[in-house]
Amino acid sequence: MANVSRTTALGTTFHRPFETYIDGARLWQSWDMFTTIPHFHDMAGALVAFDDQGNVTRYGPMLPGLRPLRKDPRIIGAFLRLAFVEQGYAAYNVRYLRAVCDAIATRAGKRPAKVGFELYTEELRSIQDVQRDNRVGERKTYPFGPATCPR
Amino acid sequence: MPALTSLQDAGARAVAAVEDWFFAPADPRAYAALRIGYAASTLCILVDLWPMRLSLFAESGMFGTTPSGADPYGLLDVFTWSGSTAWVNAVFVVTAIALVLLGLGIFQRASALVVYTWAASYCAAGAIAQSGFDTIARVIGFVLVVSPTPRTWTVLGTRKDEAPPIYGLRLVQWQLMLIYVCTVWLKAPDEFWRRGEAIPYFMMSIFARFPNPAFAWLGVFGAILTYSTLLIEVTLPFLLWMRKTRWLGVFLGVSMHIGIAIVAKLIPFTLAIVPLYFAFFERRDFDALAALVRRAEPR
Repeated sequence: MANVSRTTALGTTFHRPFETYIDGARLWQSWDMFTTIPHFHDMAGALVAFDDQGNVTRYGPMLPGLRPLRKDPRIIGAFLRLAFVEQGYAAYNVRYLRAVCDAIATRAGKRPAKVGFELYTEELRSIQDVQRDNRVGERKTYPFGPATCPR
Repeated sequence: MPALTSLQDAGARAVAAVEDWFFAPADPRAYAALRIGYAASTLCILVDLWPMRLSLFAESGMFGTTPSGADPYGLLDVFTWSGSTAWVNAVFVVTAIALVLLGLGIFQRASALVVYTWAASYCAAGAIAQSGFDTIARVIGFVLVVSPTPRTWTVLGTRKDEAPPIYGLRLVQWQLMLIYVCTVWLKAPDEFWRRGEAIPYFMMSIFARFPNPAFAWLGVFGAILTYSTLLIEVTLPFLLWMRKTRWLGVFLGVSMHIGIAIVAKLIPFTLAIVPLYFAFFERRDFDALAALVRRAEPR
């Protein structure tokens, strides 16, 4: 029942009797891994911190330690959801912003005014394009924010 | 009246069939193999997660302390109790010990409960970083908590004539079927899977172990790999369920998942899903395996 889509014409009628059991027993699930192709050949990212004077400093996006992005499928998945999936993960964006503002404040000795995020990617090119010049990825940067640091 | 009697007979037969489906005696070795396989694979998931535990679950990590109270069922989510480094480390260490005990068959239900609590907690706290193998760890952990706990293949020794009811294995069988059927249902409408190009693209992606432009030249072979993946996934539950085709199902499924582990950075998924195949094994399958092992032993 946990796998039946809630967006069909059937609505949520079938879910309701089971929701208490599924949520209570923590049995929610979704098997949508690789239901389409991955879009990226490579990925990295950086936090972009702005102070009150508009000075910009870049940091690694991994906490603790403001380290570079770890290229583990789990972390890649987390950053892709942070960047592109709003539904269900909005609270993580809020918590991440607070956490990185605190971490940058500790590192720099001063709380940044705003923090943004830059996702550096190599987007997968089409098979036909790769066959033409042997280049798998096309560089593209996705900027997010900046957002004001919460006090 | 005869019509009523035959209706009652049919009803009684239906009830007996359902009872038999869920409560018929199972080979205890199926539960034992599932338990040991689950414990080993979940320990690997824990080891894989260890370097990221502070990033995902500690207050010094990427999301701070996990808020409590947002989820009415989250009272047992251990990462809402504290986000200190010591607490997160302690939770992981205690779970690792429980996994070893579970594998050895000591305090099976209590160990399974500890593991399930950990899996449910980290999936709730780190939902944003969750993968399919995490879901398997959580859901099968729950099944082991409510399943019979035969002493077969434990360090405590085997109890003779154990015949636990089969319901726990049935739940795992359904779970495995759901995984494959749902994934095919979702993949089939996708243009890349339909065009037979999904595997070549995957092999050049960030999730591939050896991403290389050479995979753009797979052509027909890439299409065969793509379509055969869908074909195997859609037929596996039925192959495993039928006695005559079970070993073919095991061969195809295990080969596919070993292949995935070799070419993709997804070893934990292979480790998590393969032990579930034991849920389909019956006495004759274990006897056949035992005979194979005996033949392979040096005389």
